[in-house]
Amino acid sequence: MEMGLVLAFSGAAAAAIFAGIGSAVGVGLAGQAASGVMSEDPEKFGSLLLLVALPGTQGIYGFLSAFLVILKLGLTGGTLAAVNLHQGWQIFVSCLPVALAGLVSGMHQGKVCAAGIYMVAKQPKEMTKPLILGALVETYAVLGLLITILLLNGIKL
Amino acid sequence: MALARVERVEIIATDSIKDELLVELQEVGVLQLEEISPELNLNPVRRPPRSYEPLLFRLRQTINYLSSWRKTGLSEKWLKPRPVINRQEREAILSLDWENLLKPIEQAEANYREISNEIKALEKERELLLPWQSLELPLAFLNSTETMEILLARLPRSHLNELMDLEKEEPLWIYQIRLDKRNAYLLLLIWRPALKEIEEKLKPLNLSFFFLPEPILKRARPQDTLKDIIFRLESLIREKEEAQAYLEKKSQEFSSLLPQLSIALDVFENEQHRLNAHNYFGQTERTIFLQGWIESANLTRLKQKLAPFMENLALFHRPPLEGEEPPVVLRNPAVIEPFQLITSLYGLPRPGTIDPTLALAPFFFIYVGLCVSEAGYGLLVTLLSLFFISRIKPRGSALLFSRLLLALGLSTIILGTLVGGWFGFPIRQLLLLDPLTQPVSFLLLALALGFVQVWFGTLLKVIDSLRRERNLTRFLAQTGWLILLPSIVLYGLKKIDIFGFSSLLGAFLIVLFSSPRKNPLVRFLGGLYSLYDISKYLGDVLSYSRLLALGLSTSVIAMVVNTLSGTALKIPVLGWIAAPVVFLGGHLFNLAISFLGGFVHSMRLQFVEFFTKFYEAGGKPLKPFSFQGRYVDFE
Repeated sequence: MEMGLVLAFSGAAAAAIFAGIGSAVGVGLAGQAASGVMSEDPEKFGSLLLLVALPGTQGIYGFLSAFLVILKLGLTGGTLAAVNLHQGWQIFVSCLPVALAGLVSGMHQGKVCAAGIYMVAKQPKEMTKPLILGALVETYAVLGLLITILLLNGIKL
Repeated sequence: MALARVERVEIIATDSIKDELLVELQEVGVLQLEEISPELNLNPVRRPPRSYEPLLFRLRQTINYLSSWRKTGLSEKWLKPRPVINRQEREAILSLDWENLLKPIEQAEANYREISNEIKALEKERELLLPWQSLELPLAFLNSTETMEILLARLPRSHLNELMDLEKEEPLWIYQIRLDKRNAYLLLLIWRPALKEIEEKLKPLNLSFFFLPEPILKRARPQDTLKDIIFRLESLIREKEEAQAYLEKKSQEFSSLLPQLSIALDVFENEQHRLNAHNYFGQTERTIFLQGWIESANLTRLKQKLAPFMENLALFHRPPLEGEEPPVVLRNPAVIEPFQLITSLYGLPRPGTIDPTLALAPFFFIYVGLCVSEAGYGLLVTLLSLFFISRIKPRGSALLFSRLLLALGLSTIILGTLVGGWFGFPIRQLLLLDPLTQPVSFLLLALALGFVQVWFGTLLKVIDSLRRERNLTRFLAQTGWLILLPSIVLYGLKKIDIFGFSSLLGAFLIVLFSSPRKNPLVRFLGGLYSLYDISKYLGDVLSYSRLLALGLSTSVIAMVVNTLSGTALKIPVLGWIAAPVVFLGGHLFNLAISFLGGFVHSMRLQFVEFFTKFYEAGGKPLKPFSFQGRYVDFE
């Protein structure tokens, strides 16, 4: 296999892996907090679920970027695109914004959501405010995704 | 686009009608009661001694207990319309003999708890005895004699050999009852005079003596072996379990009363609420005085409701005075009304300021549509909310939320068709813009929307400050921004001189009027510095690029789901099952996360980018004294 293709694959993998780790950690943190709250009040499951799910989006963004690379390389169609070393690097670097922004923002969003879950435990009516605070952190993953998409879109194979 | 007019209401009535008055007020449900102003120097009315709190406590307990026995299907919980209670039904519920209705249930609960505890205790005893059961000696034999101490003991197996050695040296006899993986269960006979000494030597072996628990000894006869005792324990447990099963069945039968009990809880809670409302009365010798806030539009309804009492009361109303902070009510046309939820989530506007609902509604509508951009999902959400509205007939904020979902579903259908697709399949003829192939055009669209909203926010600020503050310098500085922002964008796009000039004019206004100080140099430098705020505007507008990212992510995931289910279809035989599962599950998942993301991010754009330009929250909502139910609605 050509080096360019290896790099392109690494990019796709990095996007899925790092953003996925960010989300896994984030959802993990929020999930632990939610279980703690539910041990006192199991009825809160419905209202806490959104807060637990919110840090999960980074992983999806990473997955999505990886899938865009897969589409670009023609992996689903059967015929692999020819990728030279430069193009390989381009794809690899394009994947970095979503990978790294997803990694860090996923973890931090998890913390914000966990804190929000404790808040909902005491203020059950304030469901949306912690959601908004969580979304503030997510912004940077969204921006990372945006740049990744735009960069990938600019690469001519 | 405004806040409803709210007026101060004062009622003076004869003391004799105060109970009826409260009933009427609670029924009409439009007046927010207020504490009596202290400067009136009126005595507070003593609350009537009657209280429903003990009954409420019991009702809550009973409901709590019974709901653990009730198997509510999802359909029953979500698909049943809420019951509506009128005055007659309310009074019927109040007059029922709750004392005697609750008693058998409470008795069943108490018995059930007691018997469960007993069973637990018995099982624990049995557990304790089990390792010793192969000792087939009557209990009488286990009593120590004058010369011999007879003991049961447990020893870790690792120390067994050491004990055997000890047996050879000391007046000590060991009988092994049982060996399991970790422990040896032993019967020890120790010669009493050597007891102290031997005990000393046994200490390092980690040996623990076992004494039969007191309740067992009490019940046992001397000729019983441990096996007999265990056997009897077991039959006792079985007996109790039968009784428990009977109580369980009975509780399950009782749980069919749950709906009535819930309604009763709601009714009595409202009665208690009304008793508490006596605290709002101020009293003179023969009259009572009541103050509150009301939305002006509801005044006639209040007057009509109180008409039968007109001989006994006088009602005054007036607009709020300077310095009074009346509560606020948002009033918007029906189409806009659901978006009030977004405003109230951030916090209601202060009295006398702008209600931002009308201003944010079209933007929010479009943003959610763009973020989700999947007409199929929009259709599902639309149908779901329609079903919910027509079937469950929710009221209050639940209805408002369903209507909001309906609006957002419609928006998603429209925008999904224009810039997305139906379940991942775009309809090319209707497509205005394909975000996958023309992301840059889509990005520009998102930024343009953002620019319009940010500029609009600034415009609202100008209007508001003109209306309320009449401060010319601030007005001019804000106008500077209004001129500068579009001109600089247009100049960047078209390079026409007139836009260049108008940009300069805007900048000029900002520099001159942003920091009104006496020292002209400080004023100039301060003005220059506030020109730097343009970076904030830039950041705000760029933030709208999330519309592209979220919209794209929905369409791409929808595509991925279709690709995956297409792949699944190729699996022989199983494919016909797997493909629809992947298709349905994947699209439902995507629907959930994209609506969550679309909702939350569109809301953030309102709160962080739009509201910061002009909006002041801090108003208190008008909370009329009314009937409120958790399980039922009141007519």
